[in-house]
Amino acid sequence: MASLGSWALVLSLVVSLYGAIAAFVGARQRSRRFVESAQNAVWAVAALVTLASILLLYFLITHDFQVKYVYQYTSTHLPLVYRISAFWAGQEGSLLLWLWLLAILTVIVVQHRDRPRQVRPYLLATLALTETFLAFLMVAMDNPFATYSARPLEGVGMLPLLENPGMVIHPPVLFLGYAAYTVPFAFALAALMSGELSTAWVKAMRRWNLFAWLSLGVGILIGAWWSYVELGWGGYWAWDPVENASLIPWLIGTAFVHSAMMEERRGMHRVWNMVLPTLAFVLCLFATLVTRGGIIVSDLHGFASNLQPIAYYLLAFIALVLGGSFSLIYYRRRQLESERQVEHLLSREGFFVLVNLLFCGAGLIVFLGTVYPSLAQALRGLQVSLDASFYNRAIGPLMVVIVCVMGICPVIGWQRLSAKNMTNLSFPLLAALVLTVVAFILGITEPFPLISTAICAFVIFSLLGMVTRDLLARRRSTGENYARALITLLSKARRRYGAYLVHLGIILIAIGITGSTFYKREQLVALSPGESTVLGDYRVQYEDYSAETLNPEPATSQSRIRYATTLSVYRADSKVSTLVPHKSYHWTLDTPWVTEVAIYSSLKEDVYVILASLEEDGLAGFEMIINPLVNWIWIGGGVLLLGTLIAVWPEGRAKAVED
Amino acid sequence: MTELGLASQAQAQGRRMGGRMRFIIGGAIIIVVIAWLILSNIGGSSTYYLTVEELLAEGPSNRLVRGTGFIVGQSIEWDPQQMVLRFEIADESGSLPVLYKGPPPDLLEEGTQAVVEGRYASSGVFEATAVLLKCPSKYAEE
Repeated sequence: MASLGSWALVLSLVVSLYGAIAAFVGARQRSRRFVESAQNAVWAVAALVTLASILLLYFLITHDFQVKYVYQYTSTHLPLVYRISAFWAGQEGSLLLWLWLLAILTVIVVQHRDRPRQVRPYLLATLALTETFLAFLMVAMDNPFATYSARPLEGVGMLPLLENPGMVIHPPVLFLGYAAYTVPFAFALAALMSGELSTAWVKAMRRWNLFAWLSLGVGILIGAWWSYVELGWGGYWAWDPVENASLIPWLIGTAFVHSAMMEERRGMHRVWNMVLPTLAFVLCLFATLVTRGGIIVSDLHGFASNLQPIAYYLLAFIALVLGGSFSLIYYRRRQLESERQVEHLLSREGFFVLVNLLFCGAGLIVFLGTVYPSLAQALRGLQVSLDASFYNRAIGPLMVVIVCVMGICPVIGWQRLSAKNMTNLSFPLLAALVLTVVAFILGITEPFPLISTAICAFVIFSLLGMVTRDLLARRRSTGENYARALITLLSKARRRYGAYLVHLGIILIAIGITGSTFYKREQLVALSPGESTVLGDYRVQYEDYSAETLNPEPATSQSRIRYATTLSVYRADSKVSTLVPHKSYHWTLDTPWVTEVAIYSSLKEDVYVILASLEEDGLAGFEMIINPLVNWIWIGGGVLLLGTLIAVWPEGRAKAVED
Repeated sequence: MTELGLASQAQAQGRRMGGRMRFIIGGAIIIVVIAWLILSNIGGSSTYYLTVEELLAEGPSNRLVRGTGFIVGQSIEWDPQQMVLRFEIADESGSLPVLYKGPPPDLLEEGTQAVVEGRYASSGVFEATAVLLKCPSKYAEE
């Protein structure tokens, strides 16, 4: 049965390669027959890869330990949901997931027949070629269907850290983002190859671009949340190479979301819009190179430590993509000239260029920080590590400017700043100033949190001001009541209001990051059962401890002794929560200890307790942390999701009714 | 009519050139600032890895470094009441006492390769603010 899976992958490699060639030949010879054949090929690839994926799921669910992948990542103790998520626990399955998502997206892209005729075959060729590359990686090196000659009775089991709801959704969402970034890139490359360089392609791929950006962003946030609740070090972002690797394409993608709008609306930024999607796509491949290729030195993640064969293939493909795209951009440079020039620095056009530069700058900083230790080792033989302060100091100032621009840019008009814009800006500026003074009086005295308060308030008031002005204008002209006017505005200008919501989401995230970075309080205490300690506004009482053995036979990764402590959290003498931080000893693992934190969460702050040590007599060491405003990061993520969905929701149906 | 048109065209062109110049200068300033942010911070935020041999040869220096060596099993002392951990890291050249205020890491045992971040204080003890133990993980097997 497993050989069926292997054959499905080999066939999908052959068929996708055929599809890429047929589409390319069809494009050069303007032959519909070839293009249609290529179209059938990508359908066949989607069917084959779906078959392979269902087979792998079937093996995982039914405990077919003869399949190496099933043996390595699951055991009979593992609940169903984690057996399914074992699909993406290793490299082979991750690649299959990526290819599966890409195959489905490709079919959907190809379905739309409204694209310019010359562009479509090239689009098809690019997508099919990327499928070929991913299928090749699996067939050549990482076949998820490799089997043992005999069938083991029990599997090794999943790493306990991966047994978390975060693991169930984080990788698929992230890979959806990686796969989706192939689409804007394919559109750009197709435009370049066909020479059909009108701005139509930007309109055609707008939803795809936002979709890719959203998936990647939400994937990163879920990863941060997972790290916060599972890794147990008290934070959500460590600037670890693996985290950085997914952030870099998102930063470049954010620049592209804005830049694409400039081309659509003003016919500008046309070279940017070829370079940015190419970079975003290549950086998604780079992310795999970081996590799997063994080129980056990482302290936190124990990833492969020497250069893996997959690294060479990825580097070769990246070089091919960059070389090909940039030569085409150079070749077509005359056709890519902007329709307009920026006439004033203080105009919306000017600010959009600034946004591009800032996001690319931030991407560059994270990229350099990620590769710096490896470069230093390779070039100068130095063993160096770069700590989080580098990123905070280098990116912090850029983020401040980006947030400011977010408050200014939507208010001011195209072409140049007008007097009316200035009046509209002065209200939020004044309100932000007042709020900052209040914050200062209330005890926020460090410079960065003060600046952050000021700019976040500025943006929120600026957004509120814009919505209020629209609302009043609508009410004056139509006489609708406020609620009705707001709803019509929302449904008529979905893109604009979606963008406002996304900006609001980012501000909420910024507030959460500022609070938890600057006002985090930690303490290390040793308590005996019955003793208590004061932590901020809370009193934490250590009640009791216990030890129990779980899943002893047969021994797998899921076999463990669980040491648990029970703590009561009081605020103003009333009990608000019971926390059970615990540690488990998994005796079959190389790293047997796994710590599970306990969190009491509220909108104001999180009480985060880690069980650091436990003696035989019950004397326990706790690391207790107060993390202010962390919840706003996740709430901001939700607002961002909602805003993007509003902006991308098809307008077709509503329009049809209006007509 | 045509003269007027030409004049305004020339004017527009002049404006465009001026705009472009300002624009390039503005862009250049931003790029310089970003480069400065990177270069000025990369040195200050790097911590160098030093082996026990290098640390002993250099002597107490009070600068932030990362010391690497193997844990000496018998030297581990853990005071659960004060939450103070003492141990030694060693290589062929000798051993170095380490003091860490915090719980013992989960893999702390004889022979584990350790990275201790902190300062080699003049008291002759390495005062660590973080102890990292290199663990062979499942990913590394592949």
